[in-house]
Amino acid sequence: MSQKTSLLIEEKDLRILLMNILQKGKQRIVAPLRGYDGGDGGGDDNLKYFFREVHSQEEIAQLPLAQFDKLQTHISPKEFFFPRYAPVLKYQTISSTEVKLSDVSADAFGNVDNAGNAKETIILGLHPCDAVGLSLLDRVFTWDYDDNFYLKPRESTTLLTFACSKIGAHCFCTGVGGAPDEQRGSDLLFSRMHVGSGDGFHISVLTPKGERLVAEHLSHLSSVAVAPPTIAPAERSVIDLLDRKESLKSMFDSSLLVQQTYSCLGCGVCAMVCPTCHCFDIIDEDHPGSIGVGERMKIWDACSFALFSKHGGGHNPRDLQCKRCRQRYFHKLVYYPEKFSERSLCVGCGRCARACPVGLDIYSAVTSVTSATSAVSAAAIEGGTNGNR
Amino acid sequence: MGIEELRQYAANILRDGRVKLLIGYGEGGDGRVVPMFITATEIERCSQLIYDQRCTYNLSVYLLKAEIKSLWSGAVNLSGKVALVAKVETVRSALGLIAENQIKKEDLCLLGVRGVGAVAAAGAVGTEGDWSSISSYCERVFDVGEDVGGDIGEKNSHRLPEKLDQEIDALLKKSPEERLHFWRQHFASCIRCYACRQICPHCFCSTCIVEKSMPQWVSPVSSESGNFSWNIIRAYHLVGRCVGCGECARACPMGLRLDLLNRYMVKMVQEKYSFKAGLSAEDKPPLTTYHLNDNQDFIK
Ligand code: SF4
Ligand code: SF4
Ligand code: SF4
Repeated sequence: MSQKTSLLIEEKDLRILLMNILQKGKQRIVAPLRGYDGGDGGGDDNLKYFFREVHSQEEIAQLPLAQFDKLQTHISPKEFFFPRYAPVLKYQTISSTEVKLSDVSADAFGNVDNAGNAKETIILGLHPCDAVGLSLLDRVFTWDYDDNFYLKPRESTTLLTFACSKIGAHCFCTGVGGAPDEQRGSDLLFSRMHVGSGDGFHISVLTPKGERLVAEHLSHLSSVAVAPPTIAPAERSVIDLLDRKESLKSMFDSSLLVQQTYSCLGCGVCAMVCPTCHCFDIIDEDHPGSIGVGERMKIWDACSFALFSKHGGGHNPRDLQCKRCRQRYFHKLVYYPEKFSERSLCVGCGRCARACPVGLDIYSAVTSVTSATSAVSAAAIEGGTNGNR
Repeated sequence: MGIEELRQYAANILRDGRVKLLIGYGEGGDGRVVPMFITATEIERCSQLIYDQRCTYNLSVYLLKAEIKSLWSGAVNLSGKVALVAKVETVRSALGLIAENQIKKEDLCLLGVRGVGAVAAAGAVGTEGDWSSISSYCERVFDVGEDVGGDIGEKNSHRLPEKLDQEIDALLKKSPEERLHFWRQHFASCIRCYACRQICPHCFCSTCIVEKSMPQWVSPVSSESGNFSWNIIRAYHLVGRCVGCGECARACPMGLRLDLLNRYMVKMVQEKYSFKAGLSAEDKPPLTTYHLNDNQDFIK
């Protein structure tokens, strides 16, 4: 089979293709779907899309394919590999000295079936930042141990990324080494362009997974020698945060950093919506009505939570919210890049800024702190707390 | 007049040392509003204070935050005062916090802002009755509100009490099964970020019940059952304390209608106890007090 590296497809044919895939039922399709609006019509339209499994032909007919190059999903696609909660083992207490452990299989989100196999999945409509985010997460989940809970669904998922034709509000991928048409992490990269008689896409086939999908479903298309359309440079001029790393490090104790995060309330929204935040907690959850029989669960956690770093004895080394924010910024821009020799754990998707209930964002906080000419040592803050505030 | 007056007043009280910190609203870029924290060393920032339709934050939540507290009430000097640019719910939350012994009345300087024009139409107005109860706790009340246009007012208006009441009435007309389905849909999507708790001035417990793990009273797993426990328990804990600012619903990234839940509680408390939270700094929330002559006929 000759390798196909560039294809062109009309938008309507892409829709038909998706309908066929759904009908064949071999792969499940995940795409940005409008979230439940709570019955009140919802607020900002942009915030209302979530990656969800597509179940019907009607849903495919309604997919806003023409918007995929600008549509922002509220939560990143990490949910499909690292769901907000998932069992890791089953336990059954036999006696005070004996507990029987067994493997779990299915999770509640359909990522893994009852036999423990990950479902073949196509995620459609993610942006280049999301795909890069997943390849950064891969490094964490294969670092000192291969986390199969993450890896299995990851291996059986093909990523159909849509290059961004427009840099959205709060986006800053170009400030953390990315680009609106970056290829890393994606299996197929779609770029909007005129095809045939109407709207369509240029497809760059980037990986063996992408090739397999093309061979399976797009074998009728012939490879073209057309380059993907160039994406207009960011309308928003973005400061390069990678250049600011050393400066940020020198600000570890700076009162400026404290001031920048005065408004943070310590909710975990920023971490939960982020494509690369990956901290989790482990808890044992008894089955309803039974004691000592249940499942050990992995659940999303966030360094913004006061409880996150609280020790069993009650001491909390990150006793103030400003230290928790600092941890998040430093993990993204300093610790992870140094540990994994990567550019940055933040991919600049802007989700945290869009979701923060008090308008805080990592980009503005870090740029303004590092724009200051000299570090100011933080005045000792009194009234450190062990509580939530 | 209007906002200029507020800015000057804010600068004055910082300059003459009557307050150490002022918390208000400012521009955050990209059309966002951010909370502003102004101390006496940067009085000029008072000229950036704003008040318009986008200013929905209930700034009373910052009264108890450790870093912020350290700006106005160090362990050494307990006489510091903090000023708040306070719309009606902010005032009411502050009064609730005083009533529940979280902050001292004399530490607080409330600069009431009574929205006018489009700002008032966008909610956060307060009734005449509300203002006549709470004005006396304010250092001053400013009739202020810049109309920034757009459809923000309309977007906020679905949080107005009358609108919520209509939705509640419609919900109550449904069968219990339909209602359960409605809340199932909501609770199923909760991701347990706890933004609802963190943004609420009245969720001030230093350890939330959901964080107590021995025993684990409330499951922290974001499954349907865990979420039912969490959301219902949070609503219960706010009965008679919630002032209905709607911030939890606004903060919720998943769009859960916490405003409906809380509004219903507010209505029940009004009906059963003729009590409206945060109209006085002295009256305790009904469910946190006990009187010998309390109605007891519910005990069977
Ligand atoms: S930065 Fe914003 S979203 Fe993140 S914890 Fe703080 S208040 Fe919540
Ligand atoms: S830190 Fe914010 S901008 Fe960066 S990847 Fe995470 S959600 Fe996106
Ligand atoms: S803010 Fe919404 S999603 Fe977060 S814990 Fe509260 S109800 Fe759940």
